[in-house]
Amino acid sequence: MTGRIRPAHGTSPAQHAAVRQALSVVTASSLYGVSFGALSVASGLSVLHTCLLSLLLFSAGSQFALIGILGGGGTAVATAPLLGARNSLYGLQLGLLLGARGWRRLVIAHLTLDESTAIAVSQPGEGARRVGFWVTGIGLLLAWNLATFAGVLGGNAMGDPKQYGLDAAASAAFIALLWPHLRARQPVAVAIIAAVITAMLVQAFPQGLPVLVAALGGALVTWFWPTATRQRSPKSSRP
Amino acid sequence: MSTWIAAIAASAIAYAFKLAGFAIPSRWLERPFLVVVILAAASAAGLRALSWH
Repeated sequence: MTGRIRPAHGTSPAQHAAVRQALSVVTASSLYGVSFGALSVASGLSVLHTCLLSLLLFSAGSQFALIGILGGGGTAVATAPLLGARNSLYGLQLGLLLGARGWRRLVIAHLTLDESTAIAVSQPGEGARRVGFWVTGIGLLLAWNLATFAGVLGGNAMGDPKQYGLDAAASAAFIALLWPHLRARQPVAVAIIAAVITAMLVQAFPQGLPVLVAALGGALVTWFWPTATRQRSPKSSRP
Repeated sequence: MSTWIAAIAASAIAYAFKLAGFAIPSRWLERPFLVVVILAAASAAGLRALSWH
């Protein structure tokens, strides 16, 4: 008998790795929910409104923008979700990777975030992508809402949430996810271009726009990269 | 505007953005920068309004 040795419970090492990565990202990103809960209450929103936003809006950037608008007495609330316009791009990719069909698309759409997309697209196989997406999406939905509630309850005791640097935890998690993929020239070029564009725009433009412009820059690099490679190294072309 | 209406309206718009990605035909991925341009233009308009609220 020469069959392959399968890990226990029918899960592959890649799926185990996806779960570990997912839980790491969930832990790092959900900490920021404490900041949201505390700031939301400090902005004048009730406990119920704050928790409702984390449950239904479920998009950190949009949530922070919305409480800023409502706390300042503004009315342009419809513009806050535009910060999450990049989620449409994620849906394009996830629809293909996860084979989303029927009612599952409705659930997957709600769980489509920076974190769940990053985990899913960074996995080597279909099974690991699915496991990574669902563990991250559901895990973050639970953890983000619990963290929000904790922030609501402990907001006054915490003081200024920014002093703890909780926002840096999510960024660190994303860099850790990105790093293993920077082994070829094209992804390195895309990462550098995107980082430079974001750094140039982040101080001058509203939150949310720099990341979309950086995505455009990355798409353009990807689009023109094969042509540039062929022009530079004609000897590498095969008959 | 009621905070309830604001929260629900913002949630509905955010969800519509997420769902839109799954409704776009996959062949659009052959021209990814067009999708990015459209989204960036729409977002820029909204974000400009956001900064003026």
